[in-house]
Amino acid sequence: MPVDEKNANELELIKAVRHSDKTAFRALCQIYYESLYRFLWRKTRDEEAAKDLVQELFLNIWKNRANLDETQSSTAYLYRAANNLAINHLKKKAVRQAHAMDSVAAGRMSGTDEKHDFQEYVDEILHDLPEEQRLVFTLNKFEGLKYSEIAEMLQISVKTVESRMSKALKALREKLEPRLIHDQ
Amino acid sequence: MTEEHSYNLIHRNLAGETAEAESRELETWLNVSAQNRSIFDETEKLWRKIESPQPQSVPSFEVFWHNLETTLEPKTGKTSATTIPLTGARQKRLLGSVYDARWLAAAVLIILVGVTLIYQRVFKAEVWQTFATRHAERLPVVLPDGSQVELNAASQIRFRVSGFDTLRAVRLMGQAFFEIKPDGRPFEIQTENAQVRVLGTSFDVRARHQKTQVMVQTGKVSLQALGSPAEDAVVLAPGHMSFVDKLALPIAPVAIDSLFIAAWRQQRLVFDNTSLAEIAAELQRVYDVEIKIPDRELQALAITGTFDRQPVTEVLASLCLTLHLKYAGFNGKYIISR
Repeated sequence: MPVDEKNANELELIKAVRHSDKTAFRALCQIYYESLYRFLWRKTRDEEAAKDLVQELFLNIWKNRANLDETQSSTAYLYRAANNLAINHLKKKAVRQAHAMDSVAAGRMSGTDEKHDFQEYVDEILHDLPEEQRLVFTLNKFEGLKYSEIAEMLQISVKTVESRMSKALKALREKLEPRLIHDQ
Repeated sequence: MTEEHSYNLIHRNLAGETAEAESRELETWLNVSAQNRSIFDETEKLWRKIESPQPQSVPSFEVFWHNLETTLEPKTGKTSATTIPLTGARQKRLLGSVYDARWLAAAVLIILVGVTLIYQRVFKAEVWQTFATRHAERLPVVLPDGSQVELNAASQIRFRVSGFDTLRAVRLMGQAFFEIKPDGRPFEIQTENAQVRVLGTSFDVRARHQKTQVMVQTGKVSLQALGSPAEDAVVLAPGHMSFVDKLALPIAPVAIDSLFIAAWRQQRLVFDNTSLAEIAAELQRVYDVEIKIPDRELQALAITGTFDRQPVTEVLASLCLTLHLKYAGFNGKYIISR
């Protein structure tokens, strides 16, 4: 199974990194670098911040390499660390949510495009959700994390992940359904 | 099946979490009625329609790794000021007498000064000097060797004071014009992705977004990609330009009009087939304003032109006139649209 192969490969990498093998660390970085950069960018909506944080993240991983545990999900471990870095960064910036409408790059101005309108609206609805629901939803939909990985990352049960997903989707459904009818 | 359960099943399915048994359960449910099927379809449509926000680009892994690698070196042990613990008996004796207390204070002072001197001598190498500019700010800097650097807006230059002994080395982020005194020692500028080496010369370096560009006014300048061998460096003569994009090798020298070289120093903006997005970014830095271009297609439009010491509104008006666009806004916040 390709999935098992990938996991077996990663297990070896993590063991090697624990023993300070830099080439193994580079390989590990290469696997996760892009996804984590995108995740940090989505959290901060700031290119420079994302660059700095992704660097800090992997540097910390290296510094703490003695504590790496291959029985744990690397995805959960890395995203948890990344999420914490992002939260700290945002706290320092005294911005509760890196989510202001005008921070969503130059691509989102209402009225220009119906497509942009929709995504903007989705942003708004997500913004209004309770943080725990928004986090679970974005981790699954935008970052592609599995329920089990989200559960491990946030130290909650899979059932809780399911329930928060459902609530988030329910809110999206109820607010967006009228709009969907118009589109094709 | 309760409504809640059926929705849960649908969500799990859309998220890719359903095992075989569950998929069959879902299928059965779908076959029950057209209403069930339409509920599923609507939910699926909604799920598919939501897009994940993406950054404009992801910095290349190679550059990321290169920068990370240099910080992975284990740090050599630093000496920190350690206090010498006094044994109980001596402590009592010293604190017992005023004369002894003064002696103790003097001894501590000498030790502290000694440690500081050692620290400075050994770790002087760690002392960096930084000069930085904000948006719409320019700053002339004089380096320890007498060379002059003018920093453009939103830029930063760093160097180790001790690094100016045998080799003159600085790190640049952003843009600056260098006038380097020829004094026999090589002068080196390191950017995020490249290295510039000169002996004595004047030239402009622009290092933004993982692209380092050099334009030479006088003298000879060598440009090489970080981590690439010296043979792959490009040597530039006056009136020539080259650049390193990410970790690619520098391009062959291109002859340029001297008008281009550090035009910003005369408060002139020169664009040569530059994208509107890049122009907006430069205007933001130079004038410290905010410019948004919502329409992606507009961002890619390219323009060639020169603007001389004009207020930003005139630059915007001129750009819009050329491209048949319009801009709106005031007081530092502008939007360009069709």
